[in-house]
Amino acid sequence: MKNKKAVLGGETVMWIYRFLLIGIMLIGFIAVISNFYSVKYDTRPAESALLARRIINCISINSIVEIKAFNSDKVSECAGLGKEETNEIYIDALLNYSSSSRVAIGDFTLKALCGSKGEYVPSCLNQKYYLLLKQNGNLERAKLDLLIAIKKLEKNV
Amino acid sequence: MKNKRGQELLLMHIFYIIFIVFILVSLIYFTSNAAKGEGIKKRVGAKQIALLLDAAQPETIIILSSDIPIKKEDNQIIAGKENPFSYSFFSPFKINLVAEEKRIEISEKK
Repeated sequence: MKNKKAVLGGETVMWIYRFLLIGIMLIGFIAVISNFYSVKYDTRPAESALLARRIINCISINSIVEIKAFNSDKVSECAGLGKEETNEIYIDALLNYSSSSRVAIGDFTLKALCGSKGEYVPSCLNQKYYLLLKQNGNLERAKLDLLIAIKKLEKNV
Repeated sequence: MKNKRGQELLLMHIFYIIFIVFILVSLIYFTSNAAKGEGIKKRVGAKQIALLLDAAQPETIIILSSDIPIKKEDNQIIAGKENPFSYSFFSPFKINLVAEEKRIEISEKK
């Protein structure tokens, strides 16, 4: 003779097991789908490369830069940054020749975060350009160290 | 005499089948929504246009083939009407967006 109570208890356990199994599958499925479709498109590296190219092409002609053209107004004009952008971007250009000259635009705190590891850090681009500097009609070798840091965390990370 | 236990079992199975069908339908809806999601289209569209404008030179005309409504405010590209996504671009040039014709004209100076 069967134990009726035991059969009933066993079936209840089976139903809990079935629902639990479906629940686990459901959570797994949703997790995979949301993970796949919520991939962030980080365009900051492309943006900084474009910005660097724009600045270099604007301040120099045929790789010759005039010392008069190397100032924050000119670099800012070349970059074409909007008002909001200056809080999200930092541009640091150091021109080394027989002397040196520096131009810095934007939020300088971003520079300190360059090189930090983690997801919520600015995207930084460090480039070196070998140029000729025109000063008083004379040409001399110069090296431009250009650092561009872009924050824009909300929309990229 | 009615088989009460059999009825209970049948009801439980019917409930279980309905439950599974409901979950399957929800999953299909969720997946298709995520796959063709407007959110992704807006995000990608705004960023693509912003990058194009970052790289564009004067005397360039960009014709957009996207069906997402696009607006330009200052140096922001705004994609979509409901929950729009905006992304900023940088350009020293004058940028004119003709929204009806989905055309962007870039000319020399601001």
